[in-house]
Amino acid sequence: MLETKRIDDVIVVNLKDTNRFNSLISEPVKERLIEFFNKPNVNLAFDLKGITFIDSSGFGVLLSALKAASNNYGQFKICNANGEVMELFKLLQLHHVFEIYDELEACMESFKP
Amino acid sequence: MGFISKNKINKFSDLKKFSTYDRATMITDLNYLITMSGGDSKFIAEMIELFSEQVDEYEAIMPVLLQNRDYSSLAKMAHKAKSSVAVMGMKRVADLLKELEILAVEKKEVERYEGMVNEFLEQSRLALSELKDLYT
Repeated sequence: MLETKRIDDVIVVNLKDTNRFNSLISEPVKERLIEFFNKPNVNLAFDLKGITFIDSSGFGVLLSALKAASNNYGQFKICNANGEVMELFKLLQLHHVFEIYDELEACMESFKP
Repeated sequence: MGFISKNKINKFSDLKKFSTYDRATMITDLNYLITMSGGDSKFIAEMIELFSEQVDEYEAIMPVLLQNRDYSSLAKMAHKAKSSVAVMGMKRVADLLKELEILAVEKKEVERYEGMVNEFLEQSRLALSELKDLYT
């Protein structure tokens, strides 16, 4: 469900085998994402490449992850949101809440001090 | 679960129906959020909590920006706050913040900023109280 890799000191996470981030997968994804932030100072990039739709439960998970990160001195950033997904972020005014980057490279760069 | 779910919308309608709030005098209007989320109560609760955290942030930072006469940063913060209140359906306050943003960008009518910030913060606190009574 989740694919993770580590690049430098950043954990890069993406959803595997789906193009929809919805209630069918939101609970296990939430548990796993929050688990990452049990440790302090974790930097995590959530790569939305290939995702074409996020429903409210998916956005709820992203908000929970952001909160978990900020509660434990971590950073949670998003990249590769496609046009339609970005529209949803904007409709919910969440583009002001999350740090969202067009590409993974730019996202990785933003973690550098 | 999609963004539209009539059953859940009805659930929220019921909450409003039995609440002591009169819709005409309410500061907030979550119809947009309810429709967008299909009435997903978990998501709406997350958004209310996020709004609460944002208000804490605005309350801590905006008075400092005023005191430091950092009007560029105040304009940026008003822009962000405008989105926060718009999602909660606080149209009048969103208009107030839009005016503050425009004025602060141009550093015009500086004497009005403090009153506008105070009005925004007061309305936001009232809105949070209303939201917590209704939806959490």
